[in-house]
Amino acid sequence: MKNILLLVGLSLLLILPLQGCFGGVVDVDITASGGASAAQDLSAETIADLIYSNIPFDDMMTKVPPASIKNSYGLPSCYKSGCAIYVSTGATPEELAVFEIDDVCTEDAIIEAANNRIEKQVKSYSSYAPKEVPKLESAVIYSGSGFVVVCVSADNSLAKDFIKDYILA
Amino acid sequence: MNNIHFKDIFFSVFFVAVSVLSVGLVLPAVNYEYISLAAPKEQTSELFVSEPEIIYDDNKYSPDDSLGDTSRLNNSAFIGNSHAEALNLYGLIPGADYYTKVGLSVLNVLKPGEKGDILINNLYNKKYDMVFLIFGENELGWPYPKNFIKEFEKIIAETRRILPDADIYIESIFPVSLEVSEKDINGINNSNIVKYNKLLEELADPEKNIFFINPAEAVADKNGNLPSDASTDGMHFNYGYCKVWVNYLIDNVVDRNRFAGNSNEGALEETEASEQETNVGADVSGFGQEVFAPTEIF
Repeated sequence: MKNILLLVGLSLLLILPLQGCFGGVVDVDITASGGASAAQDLSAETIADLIYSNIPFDDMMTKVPPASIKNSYGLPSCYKSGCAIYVSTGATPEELAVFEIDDVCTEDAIIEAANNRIEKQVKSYSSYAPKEVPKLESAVIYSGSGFVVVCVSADNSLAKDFIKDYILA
Repeated sequence: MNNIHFKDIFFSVFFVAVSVLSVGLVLPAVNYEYISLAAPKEQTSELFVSEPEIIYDDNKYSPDDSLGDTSRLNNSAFIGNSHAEALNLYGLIPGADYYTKVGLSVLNVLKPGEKGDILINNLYNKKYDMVFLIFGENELGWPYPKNFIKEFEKIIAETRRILPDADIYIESIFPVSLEVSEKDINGINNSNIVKYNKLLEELADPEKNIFFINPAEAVADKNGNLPSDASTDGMHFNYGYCKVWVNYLIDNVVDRNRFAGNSNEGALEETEASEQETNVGADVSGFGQEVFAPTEIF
């Protein structure tokens, strides 16, 4: 009996370390980007890339030239300040935009444009693809550390937590 | 340890094997991978496109081609549905203006919208050289295609009235994927699309600078379907296939230099200003999305 227990214990020692390989745990190197000081080293493009890498999207997303941002948000001067945008095919309203705040591209102007953009998208998709509307209704508009992030993704709750806790903390 | 029997060893190994297999069964429940911030997913500036199932042996255009010189499409206006809106968002033609909207149909172009603006009146903004009209996907389910054609004719007529000297392009309706076509929802199938395109082609009148242009042939595979790698939903193009579309337009629009030396009359002037459909509205409606300032969090 003692030997059986010993063998069982050895078996468990073999199995338990394997749990770390199978997900369910977010392995995050906070020092890579956490904290206000790290955000100062980031650009709008870097932030957008980080979010895109870690947040799920149902649609095919493409990073487009910053100047294109005026086509969706207006804000013709903001692309000069620093911004990055990922757009979808149009099959869904998914989108990811990051704006750098400065005297020309102010936080209020960006947030207003973002709200208007979301509202317009809700009206369009309400009749075109109603099942996509919840993504818009839970869209993330987050401001912090000198940036505004607008994110419409397949998991906005995760996106909000990720942006808040790890990107623009 | 000297008292360990073969049976004990066998059951221990069996227990380990069962445990490992059990953990393996949990893996499919993980919907997406968690990635360390220290090693982000590799990024490219263009959309990742999987290998096409059908090789375009005899097709001139590929989604992997570079974007051509879009200056030929400068000073143009696009009026249309979600396909055209994608062109707008991808920013593939910087010199064009877009009066586009997801879900737009021929019924919405000449009538006042929610804010009282009439979309076609945006053509008063500039003396455009070219106007591209992109409609049809949202009208495939109409019981009488002739009604679609009738409304389309009205749009052409009004475009001509506003811009007497512009080239007007009637764009073909794009094919959908085989899967979408077989589902045949709301008349969306490639056989129906071909019929509608024939009707659209009949609207052309080259002598009056009204042309039918067929980018559908550039994106379709050998069987007339949209390739599986072109979109997520079998309808809306990714970046690569929008490039195909634009490259086709570049190669097939009529040379505007044919007007060199002719005096062009100015466009009709509008008496009322109209709001551009794609521009963000001025109203701050306070949609209600939460904005998290750092002080609220920490």
